[in-house]
Amino acid sequence: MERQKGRLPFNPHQLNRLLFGKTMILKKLLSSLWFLLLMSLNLQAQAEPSAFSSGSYQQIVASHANQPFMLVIWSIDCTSCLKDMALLSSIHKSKPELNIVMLAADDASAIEQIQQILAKNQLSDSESWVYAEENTQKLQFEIDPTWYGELPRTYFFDKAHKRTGVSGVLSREAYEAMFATILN
Amino acid sequence: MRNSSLKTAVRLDNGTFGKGFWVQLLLIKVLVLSACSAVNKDHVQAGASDYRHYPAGGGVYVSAAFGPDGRLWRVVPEKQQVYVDYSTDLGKTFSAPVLVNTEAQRIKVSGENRPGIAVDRSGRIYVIYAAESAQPVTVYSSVSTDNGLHFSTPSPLSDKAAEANSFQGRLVLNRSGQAYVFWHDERDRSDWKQSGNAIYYTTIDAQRGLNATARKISDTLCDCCRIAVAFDNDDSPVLLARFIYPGGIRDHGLIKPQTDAEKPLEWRVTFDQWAIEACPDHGPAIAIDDANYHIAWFTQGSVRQGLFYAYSLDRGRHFSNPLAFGNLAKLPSHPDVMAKGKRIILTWTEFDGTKSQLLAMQSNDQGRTWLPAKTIADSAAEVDYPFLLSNDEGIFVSWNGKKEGYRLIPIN
Repeated sequence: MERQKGRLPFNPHQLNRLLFGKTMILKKLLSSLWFLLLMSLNLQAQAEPSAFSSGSYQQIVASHANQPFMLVIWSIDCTSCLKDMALLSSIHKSKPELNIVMLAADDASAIEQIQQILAKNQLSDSESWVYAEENTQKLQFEIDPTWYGELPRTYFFDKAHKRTGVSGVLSREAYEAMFATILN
Repeated sequence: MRNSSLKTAVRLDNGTFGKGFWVQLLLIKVLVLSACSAVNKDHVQAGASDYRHYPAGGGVYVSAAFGPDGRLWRVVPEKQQVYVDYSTDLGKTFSAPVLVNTEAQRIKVSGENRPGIAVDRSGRIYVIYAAESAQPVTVYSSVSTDNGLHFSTPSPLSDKAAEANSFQGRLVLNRSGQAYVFWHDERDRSDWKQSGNAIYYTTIDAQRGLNATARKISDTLCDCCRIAVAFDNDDSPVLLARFIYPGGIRDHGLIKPQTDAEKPLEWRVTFDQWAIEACPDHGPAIAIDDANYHIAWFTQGSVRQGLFYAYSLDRGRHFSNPLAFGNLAKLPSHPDVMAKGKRIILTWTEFDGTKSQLLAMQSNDQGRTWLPAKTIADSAAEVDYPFLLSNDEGIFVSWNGKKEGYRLIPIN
């Protein structure tokens, strides 16, 4: 379930300890400042995921009118999803024409980790979203009223937006079979 | 009914200042408090079940347990703090929360990775919760020996907590009051791309604290589903958990840890053929009464889909045919089961796109026949899983929600 945290270039706590000794309040405040600074530096490097709220699903579908695309719902805490990333990365490289929409079923506090995972897998240039409502069950239901929320969940849309939803990690063959359907 | 401090809390929210002002004030307060690494609990007023009296508004994933004197105890995690409070009026009002972790931590909590609380016959209160440490996630435990006035400094349960993740702890007391904690442990994983965690457990000795050595009882546990535990007539633990069987099948198995040096007994009990490489985040439930086992679980297997119940009269060797329950059109989820003699109770949630509903269903003949399911509560906001609790006054569903707060709903 839980995975390694996104790696920072260095540990802010250690640096603080080195620089500022044992002054407790100072340490805490500075560690927060370091965190904010690192966050902002990191955020400048790539676009922040868009906030996925009620209506966003329809918006995504509408913005890909007459185009096939793949919607991948994942989470930083989902081991299976992270296993799936390398293959997604390779698919993205070999099929740059295929639109991949990445939707993280996490909250805004995970944005830094989301971006790091996407960057590590060369998926930063894909359209990226993150859940932005507390009641994520409502968002799930808007996407698909038959989906229980298990991750990863992948939706394949053909040009006419006929949709197929699949739960779990897919093999390359399974992806290829779906692409053969939606890209033709 | 409501006490004066609650009224103060309510007035604050409805006062002349906008909500944003109070949110900002709270944020400033939380920052200042966490910077000092100590929350003065006198600042926290006792209140009702809606968490307005909590410094950061409480949380959705809350666990509760009755103590020997009938008091209802809760463990309430916030982003950096974990609190314990109690109710003497079946969940209508609660005491001022007492802080468990005086050092702020990044608390890790979800429906599956939830905090736990248990109170033994002598009134000792055991608490577990997950937080970030040297590892992304570690299960901590703390004990209060003075009726919840103070809690011991939380310490990791795993003897390898510095080296490997531990999470989804399940804290349970057997009938004689021995505290057990079972958890997911990643210490034996050389490659995180391989599937499955190990289950480790330890016991907490009321006098001497933690039993230092964690014992392994299983491998190939599905990464994202919490463990269910009940105790057999001989007071030994029986676990039900989702395992990864050959072919990537994520069905359920029973485990019975044995006495020292003997290997745990482990066998598969559900055969739904759910072949999936995913995180279902959907653990099972088990109850045992008079050596009869009752289990409830969720599956999306090729054989059956939805929520199911089954019983066993031979200590888990054979189970009855799975009985489907819940409305499949409304995503029935997160079942709990309780057995009290001939009376068996199931509870679960459903969702219709707008509202979550809490349902319950009963059998008066040990699970052979069932009365129709009843909707006993609902919510239009984020909700927690439901849990069955009982004390001398009856059987209740403990259900927490973002909007309605905490509810203890009697099962008639």
